[in-house]
Amino acid sequence: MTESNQRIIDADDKGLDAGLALFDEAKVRRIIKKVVDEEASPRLKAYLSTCVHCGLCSDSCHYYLSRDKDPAYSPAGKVKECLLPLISGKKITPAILKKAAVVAYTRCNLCKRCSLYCTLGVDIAYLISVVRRICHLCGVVPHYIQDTANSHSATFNQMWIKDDEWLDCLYWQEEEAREEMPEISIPVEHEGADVMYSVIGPEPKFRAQLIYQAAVIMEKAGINWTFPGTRGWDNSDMCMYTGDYETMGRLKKAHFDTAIRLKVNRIVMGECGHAFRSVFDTGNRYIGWKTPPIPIVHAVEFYHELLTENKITIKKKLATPVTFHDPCNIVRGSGLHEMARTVVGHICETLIEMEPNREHNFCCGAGGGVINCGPPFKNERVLGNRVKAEQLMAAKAKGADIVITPCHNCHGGLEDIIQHYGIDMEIKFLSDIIYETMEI
Amino acid sequence: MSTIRGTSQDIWDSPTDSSRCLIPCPTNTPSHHFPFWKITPSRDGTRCAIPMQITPEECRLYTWTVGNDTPEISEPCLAITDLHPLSKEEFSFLQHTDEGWTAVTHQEPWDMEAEFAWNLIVSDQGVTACQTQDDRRYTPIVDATPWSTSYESSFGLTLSTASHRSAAVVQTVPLTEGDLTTFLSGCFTLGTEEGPWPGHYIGAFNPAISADGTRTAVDARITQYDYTIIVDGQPWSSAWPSVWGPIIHPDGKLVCAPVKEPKGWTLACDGKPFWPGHYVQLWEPAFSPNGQRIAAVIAPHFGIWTLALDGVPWKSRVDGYLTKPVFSPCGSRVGCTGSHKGRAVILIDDCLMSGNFDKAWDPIFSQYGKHVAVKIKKGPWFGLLLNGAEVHRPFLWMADPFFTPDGNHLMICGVEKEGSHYIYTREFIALN
Repeated sequence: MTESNQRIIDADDKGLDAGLALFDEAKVRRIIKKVVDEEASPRLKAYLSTCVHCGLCSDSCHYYLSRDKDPAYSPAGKVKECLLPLISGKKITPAILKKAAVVAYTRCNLCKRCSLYCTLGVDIAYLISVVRRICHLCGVVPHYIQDTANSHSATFNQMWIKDDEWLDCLYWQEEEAREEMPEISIPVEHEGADVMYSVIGPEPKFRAQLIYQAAVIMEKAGINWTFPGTRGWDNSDMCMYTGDYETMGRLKKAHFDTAIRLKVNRIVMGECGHAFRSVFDTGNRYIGWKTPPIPIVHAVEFYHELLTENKITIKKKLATPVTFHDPCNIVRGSGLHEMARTVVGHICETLIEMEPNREHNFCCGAGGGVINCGPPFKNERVLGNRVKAEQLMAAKAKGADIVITPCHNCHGGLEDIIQHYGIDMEIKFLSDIIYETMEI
Repeated sequence: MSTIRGTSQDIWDSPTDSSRCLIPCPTNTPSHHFPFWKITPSRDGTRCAIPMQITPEECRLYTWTVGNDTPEISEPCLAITDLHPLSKEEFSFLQHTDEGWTAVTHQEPWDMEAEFAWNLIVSDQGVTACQTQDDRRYTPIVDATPWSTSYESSFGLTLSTASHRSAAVVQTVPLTEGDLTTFLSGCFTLGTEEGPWPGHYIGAFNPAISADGTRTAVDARITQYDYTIIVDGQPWSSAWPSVWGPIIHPDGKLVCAPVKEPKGWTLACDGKPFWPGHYVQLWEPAFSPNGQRIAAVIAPHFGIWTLALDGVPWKSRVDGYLTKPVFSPCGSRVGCTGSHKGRAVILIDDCLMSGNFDKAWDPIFSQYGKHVAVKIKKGPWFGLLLNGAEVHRPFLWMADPFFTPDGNHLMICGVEKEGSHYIYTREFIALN
């Protein structure tokens, strides 16, 4: 028994346990057949038949590198451990299904760094997503992320925020902002505005200052903008990561329907990576929109526009040296790394690059819903990303005191790494620094 | 921004001559901060109102009557939201005071002070309803009368078009974060003023209520993997991996909804597939007002969209999106808006129109479908297409156009700027 396998057996999660208590092999086989034959084929077959087992993906994976090159943590190794036993035709046991779920949900961030390094372009994140889809349909999903998916289903946001609480938060933040800028307003339900600004659930719940900061930035830039006052305000999507694609589709329809109803020209979304993946790629396509029906730009693109077109003015750049963590979903997913550096160049005096960087950057370890699997898997996650800690420590040694990352999950992941490995660094969003340095 | 709705003759006894009034910016509000987009016309267009935030603690409703530049000014409050035209010349809105939130209709506040009120809606018959929350209990209120029961949460409030009845999704079972068992046992159902349905579902969405208010329906998540339509508390006999919201026939006899079958999406009626075709997507179905026709947005191929009318797809296609189809009052014509190749388009009777505009609002048909008006926007300017031709000078803001019930005129209410003043105008286009 390897140490890796033992940790899977020991994994204590009541969501997994509850699903496995209802294990029925015949039902599991029916689900696998449905997913493989009706949903995943032929893409699944193409990838599985293309892989030549060269192992080049291994050195791209932060889990593999951080776990002293344990083959069980290599991308191909994880596919071998979680997908192949399900589709091999051999007997499936609760232990096999549990192992598939633990590996797929908690040992892969779907960061696609391995796909970048695969000489044949096999999308290993997709293969892991197929396992998650099977696990979702079997009801074997880690408790914490399933609760988040349930929140999405019930409230259309990931934080169980009720409709009045969203509006109340906007009114509260408007009052706060008016203490600094009496003429400022946070427009709600402004039909015909240029921009609909959408955020993720944790902003009104835990980081309401980001709403206030966004309002100040919009005001100073002279943007004709609005928040939605209805469901559809949250662009996030943990259902994409649990494999509950039906709810994912409902979330994306609500988001884009809201923008269509408000007759905006485009959606600007806050600093979030996974939400960008869902609205720009995965979620919209699942329900038939080849491209987003309303143009949508990430905060990095928006801030780039504001700064390069002189819509806001920076009075004094931040003197503290910073480093920049590239979020997987907007960098490997959409190539925003140079735009992000231009933004940093406008607001910070000194950028100290982490190595590797840009599309080669290592994931924060939180992405792909892994951080949302919660405390039962926190140690696994943090220990599985020692290489990110080493990246941060190297940047710190060169003088970086702040790490900037325009992604909420990256913030959560990096906070845990910084705390666990004792790195003396502060984490900021781009908007934190723009707000601090701009002329108000 | 509210739109002008309703076609009944009783709101229409004013002359069809053009008239205007001046709306000055408050002296302490910079012109570019003036929220002219909040200006709301009354149903007959003779009055317009706007909530003005004078200071962070003082908001008042300013109401003008055309031909008179002196506004009526309401008593101060902390905030005014959800301003809607109510009846011929009046408005309804939500008001926040030191005592709490209340609704105001016919210039009188309702006898309630809720901790929070939101989502005020007004039916064509002038019935007003809103959601309220007090001490974490949620209660819809219709024309100042609260529902008989309050709930853990409530959303999706909807009013019947020809009665005082209402419906909303309600949460009847408390649910704490992390409680997967209770969630899966079902916490949501549909409620009306008379109380909730007895059944509980994992999720309930998109409530619908018939015109006379006697029938109700929702789409519901009945297991973690199955959705169906619940009508009057009874689920359809089949379930699907996904469905979209139901619609109820104008006479209340049929309920239709999009359902996802193994071959693709189709339209089901009273629990059984109704249209022969299956599509990559099908949503936003709509009955014609006379109930004889039904249209829906479909994607015959991935990323390609059109309307299907009575089960037959149109030939015109777009690559962006299409909105819910809108029928003429007589049901003979149907259209919607959308986008194609990054440009706004209007799709009417299988004819695709695009042109020199950036945005287009839902088409509005005259009573017998002879004329169709579409509000458009070009850059910052609003305009009007009448039967496909641009017919009016640009406005800074414009309400939805309105065909007078006699069919002789099209009413346009809009806002222009003149120096530091905004001019609200009500104008008429004579129709032949």
